[in-house]
Amino acid sequence: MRTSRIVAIGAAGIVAALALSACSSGGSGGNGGNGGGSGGGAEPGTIDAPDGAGKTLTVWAMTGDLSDDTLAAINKKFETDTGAKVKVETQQWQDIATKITTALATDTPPDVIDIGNTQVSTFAASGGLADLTDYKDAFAQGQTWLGGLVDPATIDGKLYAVPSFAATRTVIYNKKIWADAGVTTAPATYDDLKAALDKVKAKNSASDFSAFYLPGQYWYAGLQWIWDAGGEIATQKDGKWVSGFGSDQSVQGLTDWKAFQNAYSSVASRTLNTDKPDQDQVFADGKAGAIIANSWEIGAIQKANPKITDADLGTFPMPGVSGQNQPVMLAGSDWGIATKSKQQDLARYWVKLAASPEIQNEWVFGKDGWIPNSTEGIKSALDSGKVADLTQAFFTAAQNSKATPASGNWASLEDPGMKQFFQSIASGTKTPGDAAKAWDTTVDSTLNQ
Amino acid sequence: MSTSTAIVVAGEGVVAAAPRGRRPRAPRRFRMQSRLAPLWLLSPAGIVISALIVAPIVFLIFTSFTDFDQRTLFTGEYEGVGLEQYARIFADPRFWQSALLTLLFTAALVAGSLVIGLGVAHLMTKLGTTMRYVVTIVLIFAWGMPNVASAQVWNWLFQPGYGVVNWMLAQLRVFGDTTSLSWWNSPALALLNIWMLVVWQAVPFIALTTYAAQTQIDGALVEAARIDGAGEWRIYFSVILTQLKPTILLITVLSIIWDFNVFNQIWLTTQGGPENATATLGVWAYLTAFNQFRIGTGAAIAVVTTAMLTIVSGFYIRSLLRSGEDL
Repeated sequence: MRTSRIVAIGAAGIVAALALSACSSGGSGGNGGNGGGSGGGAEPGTIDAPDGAGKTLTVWAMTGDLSDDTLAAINKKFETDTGAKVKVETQQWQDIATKITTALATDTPPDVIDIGNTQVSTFAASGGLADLTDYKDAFAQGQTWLGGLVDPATIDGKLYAVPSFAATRTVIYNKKIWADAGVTTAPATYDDLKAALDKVKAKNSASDFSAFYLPGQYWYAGLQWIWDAGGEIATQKDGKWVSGFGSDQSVQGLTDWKAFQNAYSSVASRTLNTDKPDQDQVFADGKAGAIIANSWEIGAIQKANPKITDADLGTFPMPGVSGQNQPVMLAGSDWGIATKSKQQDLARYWVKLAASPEIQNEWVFGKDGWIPNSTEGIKSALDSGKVADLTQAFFTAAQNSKATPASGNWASLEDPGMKQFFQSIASGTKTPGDAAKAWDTTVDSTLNQ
Repeated sequence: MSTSTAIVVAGEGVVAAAPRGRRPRAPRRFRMQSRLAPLWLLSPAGIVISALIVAPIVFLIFTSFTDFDQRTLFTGEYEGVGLEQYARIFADPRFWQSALLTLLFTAALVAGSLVIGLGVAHLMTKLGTTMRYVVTIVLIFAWGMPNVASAQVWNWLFQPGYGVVNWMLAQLRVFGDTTSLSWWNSPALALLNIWMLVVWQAVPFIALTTYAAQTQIDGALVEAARIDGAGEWRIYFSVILTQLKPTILLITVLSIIWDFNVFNQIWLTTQGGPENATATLGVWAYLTAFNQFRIGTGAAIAVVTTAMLTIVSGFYIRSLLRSGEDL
């Protein structure tokens, strides 16, 4: 009997061990020293090139953001000025909030991190990113940053990240497919667009062809219909967030979006996101007449199918039911510096270079075609006459842009929450009204926790 | 969780505990030495287990009594909140839905993989040498595939629009045009889909283990039953399954533990959706701790999950020990 009791305790221990070892612990607490501080001897608030000989700065870049060439240009200048080396680690978007949190919590985090502008408030609000308020002017270098980039990085008046670049989405369409269906001019209104798509749809009957490929989980695009109808994601009232998905305007926008999606995008796309299958690949294969996409996707399309040239493509800002262009999400990225980085001075210098007008004009805009991080940058890009016909629409669309709520809790709603919310409407699992009502409860409780 | 670690750990538990009662009494002067010897022999494994398993468990339990969150990760600040986290999860209707889902889904997974695994094992005893090797190799390939990779393959196979399985189902012309079918948009199909994925990878271990056990059964028993006029079905259920009982019990306990904790296959296909229909306790704990970063609450869910698992497995462990004593 004694034997079995001992074995039983041992066995119960094994069960516990097996069960719990599946849950990895979230890293040790550690004590977050205000690493670095201002460099010895330097004047407060200025950022000069520190001596970094023998040191290596680690930079986390996101796939699809700044191109390798642009990063190399920043690194080259940085390495010449400081003597330090730079190690760029490119990250994938899947579960990125979790990845960044885990990385920032370690004692040897990446020094500089590229963070999507909709997610930056999470890390700013929770102490993961270093407070850069004292250096704001030195980073700005006389420029006025775009609100959609700097606002989410500013919590209670303190700056936690520096704008990197901006982007918006417009419609990219295949001129050849449209011309074959008898449409030769870009539509200016929502009704024009629908008339054009009806013709494209009538001409192409394959079940996997979409006149306008608009995946159901693609909430960045879906939001445009809500905003166009006058709805909001959430608004702040007396210090509390109030979710706006259930408002009459938002539900109207969602209803219009669903009708558009169901009419012009393939049935399969109702439950998909833009990545699997890659919407640029779908477009490049001639399975879609149009998509809503970022400017970098033009390059991705041409890479997927080199036979498609600039002349085969057209872009225009997405027209709205309201009669105006749909407001677009100002997408983009900010550069944050990890609180626990032991090379604060080097990190600040790198970020300063990345945000400098030279890099912004010559590389971020000049090479990559992104919208620069400041109003001066946009102006100089437009004045330079180098904005290609294809990218003109992105600059036009940016003039009417919006951002996600500047709440530290917003990011956790994006994945998988927003994706599944829009999917349930596109697929018809729920009516827009029912889905929005249920989602409002989640958004309210998450933003106000 | 890898299968091999679990076996090693389980084996150690039994080996460590079993010899005490049976060891012949040692001569007096060797007593001290022989008492310490097992400790020395166990220490390497013991240290690794305490560092990698016991310490995190203690930390996890501790965390469940605090308000540990994202801020804590960066600054190290937290406060003890007593049983508040537990009160919060028990008051949440999602917890009860998730717990019920986890229990039912685990039962379905264990039953499915056991029935199919036993069937394949029995099939292998009837096969010729060549075919048996082929089946064994195929099983090992399915087993050896990391479940992250297999979940990815599943995503491709069942993808709406381009998925091969959807295309094949459409060719059968039984279910209509399934090309654009989204398995992960309906709760029932999503669960069925994940069930297939998990069972597919659970069957090889069960089949190979029970096949090995089945080859050890004394042929005389089967022969005797046959002489007594028993049919093939009767022989299988009354003779073979009875002989396999200890093996089946062990496999059942392990399967319960593994299937209760299935995470990768769910997270990488549905992320707990649609509408939390596939959010088992493990997924819910992850969403809470690592998506919303309410780490204290997530830790409490993990502790409750473990307690539930211990109770569920307790019955089987008792039976396992009983059958062990009979040997």
